[in-house]
Amino acid sequence: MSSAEFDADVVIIGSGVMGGLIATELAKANKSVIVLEAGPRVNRRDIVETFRNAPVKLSLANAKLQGAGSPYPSLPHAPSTYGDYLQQVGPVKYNTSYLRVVGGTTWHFGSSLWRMLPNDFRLKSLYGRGRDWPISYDELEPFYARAETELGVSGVDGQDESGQGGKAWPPRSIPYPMEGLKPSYMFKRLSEMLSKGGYNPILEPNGRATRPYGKRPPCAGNNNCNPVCPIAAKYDGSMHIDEAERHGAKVLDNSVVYKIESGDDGKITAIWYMRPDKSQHKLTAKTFVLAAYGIESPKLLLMSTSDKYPNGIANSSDQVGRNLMDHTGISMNVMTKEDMWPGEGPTQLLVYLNSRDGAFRKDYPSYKIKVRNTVPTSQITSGLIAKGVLGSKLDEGIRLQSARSLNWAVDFETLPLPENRVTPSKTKFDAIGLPVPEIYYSVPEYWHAGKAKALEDFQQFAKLLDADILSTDVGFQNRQHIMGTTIMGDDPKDSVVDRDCRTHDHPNLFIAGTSVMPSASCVNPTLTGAALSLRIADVVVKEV
Amino acid sequence: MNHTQSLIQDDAPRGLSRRNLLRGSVTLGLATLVGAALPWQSVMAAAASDADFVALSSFLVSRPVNSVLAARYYQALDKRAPNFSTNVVALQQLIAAQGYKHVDEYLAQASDASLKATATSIISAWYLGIVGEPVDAELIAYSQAMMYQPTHGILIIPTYGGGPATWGPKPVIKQETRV
Repeated sequence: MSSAEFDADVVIIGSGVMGGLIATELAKANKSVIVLEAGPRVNRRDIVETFRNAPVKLSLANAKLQGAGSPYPSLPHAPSTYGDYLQQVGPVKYNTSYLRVVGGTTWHFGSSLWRMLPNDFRLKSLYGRGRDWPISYDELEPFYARAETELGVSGVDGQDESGQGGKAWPPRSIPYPMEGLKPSYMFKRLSEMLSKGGYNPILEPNGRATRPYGKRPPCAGNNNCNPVCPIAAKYDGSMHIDEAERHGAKVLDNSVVYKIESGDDGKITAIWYMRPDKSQHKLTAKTFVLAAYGIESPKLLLMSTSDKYPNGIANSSDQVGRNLMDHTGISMNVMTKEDMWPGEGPTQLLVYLNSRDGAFRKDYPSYKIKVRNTVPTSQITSGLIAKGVLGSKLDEGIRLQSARSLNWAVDFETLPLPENRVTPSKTKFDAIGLPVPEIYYSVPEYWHAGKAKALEDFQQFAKLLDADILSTDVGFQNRQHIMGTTIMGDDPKDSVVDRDCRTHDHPNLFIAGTSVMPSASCVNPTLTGAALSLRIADVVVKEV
Repeated sequence: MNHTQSLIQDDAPRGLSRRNLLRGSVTLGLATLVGAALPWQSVMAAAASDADFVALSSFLVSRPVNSVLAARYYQALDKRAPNFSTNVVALQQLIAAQGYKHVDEYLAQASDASLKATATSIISAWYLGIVGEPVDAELIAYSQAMMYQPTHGILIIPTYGGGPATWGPKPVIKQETRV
């Protein structure tokens, strides 16, 4: 521990990828660090066994089942987001599912690790939509490179990730740390067929190792990135937490932070946390980092009210909890006339980004089209049996549908709208008496304009693949990418954190993670959050 | 026979193997008997012997079935349907009386809705490895759920991957050993 004056140099709230990265950097620099996590520690073999033994299994291929089947624990003091923990009060359900365990939500992420494009940082000035970032792609690039190295990203060098089939883009200072995963037969065949319509295939960069990387073995095609990689080939936040602990950081699990205290001078003085037995504890530090992801972080700030800060901590702008974004999407199921065999290899890899960037963003959002590659056996079999298909026809049906039934999904960029927000509930509390999150979410015309465009692509895809569209779901599918709720900007009047992710109101409080992102782009935000977190670590290392 | 051990040893779905035959954990027809006195035998004695249910299951799914799993499926199904045990006996008698050689023959002729529902529940259990509705569902088997067999060799059972870079070439369907 540091001097007797403080419990630690730095207290970090949240033990996910962002908190873990910062804890590792600080611990390596010989700073004393305490990381608090609301949920418990979990270990991989237990999660894998729970998954295998679960009668209802989580499935991203079936959005309707997203409410059930997570193998992660739900505890009274850290309830699972898979139950009725999140209160939906808006016209559109924001049924996200983050994990409250040591290591955080990356335990169950699909592991896409994208960089945003330079233009994504200038949405307002280029296209008159949303907000600009106070920093540019060029300023973030070195941190993207470090984050890719830390998280162990595998990817294909030389791809035009802006989706135009041109030169390598965005600019990179390093090659991908690992070469890309081998594409499955389906990915190759789809690429071939869709190229005829001008669709440029892109294999997405991701957190699955393709060679031994640190302690990780190469991806073995277990097809279970969500909910858990059984062999730790896929990156998750527990790996950085482990590393931080090896360098001396202290991790307190089952410790739910419920209040942040600030002095009248604006400096944060302490945080309070509760244990499952409801005992209350205080920790002091020179600097604090809030890294509890896009719902819990703003909820905690808004809960931390006092006479001096009646609207909560870091909230002089009234923007805390607002500007909630996602990649709210749609999907379609098609049947092809030839065998494709989705489900071989990793759960996702091939995407289309023809509509990632361009002047059209004035009128409709950037979007990504992806094909699901999860083993579909269980859903197909239940569906057939429910229809009364038995005997030889059942086996034939399983084979035919497994080989030919494809699920395409679209992720749209959404805009930071102040009315879309997270607040602590005034009426519902968890078992230790803390308010649960209340979420208001809505979708504007801009999104619907994008939906219309993407549905045209779906029609084109079906034609190029000689496939029949079986169903289309335009029901605002949640993509689990929480962004915007502690938004970054240069102006303290309309943003929560500055360009360094330091809160405008409190010089020793930083917010780490995707909640600071002023624009969402159409790609998974984890790597951007990780790059920003490393940037925070550099600032904090110098200051404490 | 130690049933726990037997379940652990049956680590992957497979067709009819010599090892299974020698262990006596599968059966090929109505006449095959399961040797040891099983703890659940008494539960089933009132309606059908465990060997009878193994045989009926094997007929309905057109595959050899594991007798330990059979007993567990029987218990789980019986618990949820009051007419299950009597329907199992009736189904068995019907199949024997009509001389059906393949489940497709039975399905083509099936006229009794109650018996068909019981047959469906048995097939569903073996294929999905699960008995019951989502609220009270019970998992009996995961890797041995029969739904994975028709695509065996192409699609893996999630968490039981084939190893690094074991995908890529155009998949070819292999014929499995069938009853």
